[in-house]
Amino acid sequence: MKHLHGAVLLCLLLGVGQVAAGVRVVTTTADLAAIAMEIGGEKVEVKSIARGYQDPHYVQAKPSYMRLVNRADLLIYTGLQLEVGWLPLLIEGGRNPAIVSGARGNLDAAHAIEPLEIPVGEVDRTMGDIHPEGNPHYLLDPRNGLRVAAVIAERLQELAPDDAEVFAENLVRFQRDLQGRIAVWEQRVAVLEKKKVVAYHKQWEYLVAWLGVEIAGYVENRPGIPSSPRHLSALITQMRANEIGVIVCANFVDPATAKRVADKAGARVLALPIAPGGEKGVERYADLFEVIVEDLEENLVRVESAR
Amino acid sequence: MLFISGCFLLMLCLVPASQAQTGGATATGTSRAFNPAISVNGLLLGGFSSAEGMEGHVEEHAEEHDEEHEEHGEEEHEHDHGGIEEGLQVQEVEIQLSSFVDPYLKADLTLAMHGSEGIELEELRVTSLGLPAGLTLTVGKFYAALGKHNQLHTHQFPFVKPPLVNEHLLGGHGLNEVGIDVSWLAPVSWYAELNAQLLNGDSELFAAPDGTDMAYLGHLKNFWELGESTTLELGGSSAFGRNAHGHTTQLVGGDLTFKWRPTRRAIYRSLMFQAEYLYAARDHGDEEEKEGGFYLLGQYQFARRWWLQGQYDLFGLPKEEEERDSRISGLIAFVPSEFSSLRLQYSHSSKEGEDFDELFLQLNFTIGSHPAHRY
Repeated sequence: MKHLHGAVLLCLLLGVGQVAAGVRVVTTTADLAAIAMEIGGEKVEVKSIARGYQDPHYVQAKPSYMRLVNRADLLIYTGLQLEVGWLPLLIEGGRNPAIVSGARGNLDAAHAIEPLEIPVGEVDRTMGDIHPEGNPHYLLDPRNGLRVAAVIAERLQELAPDDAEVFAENLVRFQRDLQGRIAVWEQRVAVLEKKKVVAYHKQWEYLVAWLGVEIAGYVENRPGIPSSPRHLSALITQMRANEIGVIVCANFVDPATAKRVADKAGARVLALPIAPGGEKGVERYADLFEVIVEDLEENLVRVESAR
Repeated sequence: MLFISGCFLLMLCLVPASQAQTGGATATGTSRAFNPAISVNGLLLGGFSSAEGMEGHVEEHAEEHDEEHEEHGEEEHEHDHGGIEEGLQVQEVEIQLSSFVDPYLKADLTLAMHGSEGIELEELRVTSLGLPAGLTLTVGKFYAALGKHNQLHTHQFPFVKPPLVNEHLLGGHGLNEVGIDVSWLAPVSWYAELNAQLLNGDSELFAAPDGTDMAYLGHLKNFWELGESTTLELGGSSAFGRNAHGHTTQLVGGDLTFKWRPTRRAIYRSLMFQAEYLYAARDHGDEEEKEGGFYLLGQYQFARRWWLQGQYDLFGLPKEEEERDSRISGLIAFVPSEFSSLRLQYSHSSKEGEDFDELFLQLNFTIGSHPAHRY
């Protein structure tokens, strides 16, 4: 008995006593976490390393994240080298055989989707932050959310076969709900087809491919590299000539440069969240598109017709 | 036999398919798919000093130690104190190769060229994969886990030269030894990593006359997230081993690091403060030499591509004030991308009552595989 007390006390002191609810899932980004939560429900405990309002390219490899990875049963990441600057260190420092590359607890969500913008021909660093395997911002197309949800459900079923039915039900519910919404969003944004915007970073390719909107130019002429004044003045001229009224940028970007360009071009900056948690009221994966669709409608249709 | 040749045929059929996927196949049949990740760091340096010549300072130092070395018939360390000279120079080129060996091991190799000739093995780490209980085993040659600065490669140094205390106690290239490292992630409610290292004892500090004498090192690193944007790290190290006199050298160190970086606009502003203390007690038999020192370092990123840094160095505690060395440094860095930086440093040093100034301009670049950034 005395021994038991000692053991309990030791566990409390060491903080190892916490029994987790089911599968412990760690995701690199908040969009993956939101989907995993809907699929896993109460059978999983989900934590995201990056917040929804954080640029996932520039997450710091804090040792505290290594602890998270150390205790995970499943690590889900975006892949396509989005997390290349920090995730390798977290996996190495996490010392968790269950989630290393090749293990069942390691899920590269990019395997579920068809990447856009895989560079053709030679790639080098004069092009800026190029992702040789394709553009990693694929969860900004909700149809990719459907696909990623399916692979997450599949993997959870492998890891916790007892709860396989729950995951299957949750997946059906998630996909049905999202498909319904996608149909509504597509109707609402049909008027946006062929409309032109300027983007700050190569963040929105999947979104515009879904919506049929065209990106006529970028504030960053090379991804991840600040723009030259010459590029910006050419962009302003182009925006004026084509009457482009909106610059779309992620809400974690310092909008100063985009604002300067917008002011001179008679346009406005639309700062959008890129993941759940990115803005107040955006909690679920579907909320993200409610906000994005609403904002695009507001700025591309209503403002233009008011002109 | 039939089975084996069958397997072989099957393999022949399978190999081209998998190679086509990775795109690593070449016409000669030599695949690039399993080449290690390779990156190269280069440091180009221009330096000016108001002292007799920096080289002079280095030599002066080397001479002090020479007597010791000759006494014990030991080889002189070639690049004793970082080998910084006046004028233009290639300060260092580092080639890093990294790859998984098999499902059980990972190998990381760092070759360094100091100046424009000669190549040396700076680090070779063979690390275990998938040991249970939060354990990692590393064997090879590596920078000992003594505090913060000693674990940095030259291109990661916050300033052109290492802190005075590291340079004086551990030599210009730090405490770098062949050894074994056992690292343990303790199952506590914060990040606590314990390193126990067995070092071969080839360095200036632990150059025991008997080849079988080892040095032993322990390091504890604690890390807390104070909030979403701020972190605190507290570390302690201790090492001991036999020195060239056949007696014991003991090292003690402590380090404190505070970092702030906003989560939302992470790339525009950040702040870091670090303090590190190191102390050595070297028993020479007839006398015991006790020396220590510290540095205080501040880094402030005030724009996306601009950094300001300051550092105060003091070495020679607990000696008299005239016997101490001190240095105060300021640095401004322009960092156009993750892969290059241009840094201008000014230092004012006071060495045994004599003052001198130094000015450095350094270009730091990385090519090859994308490096992950340690926190």
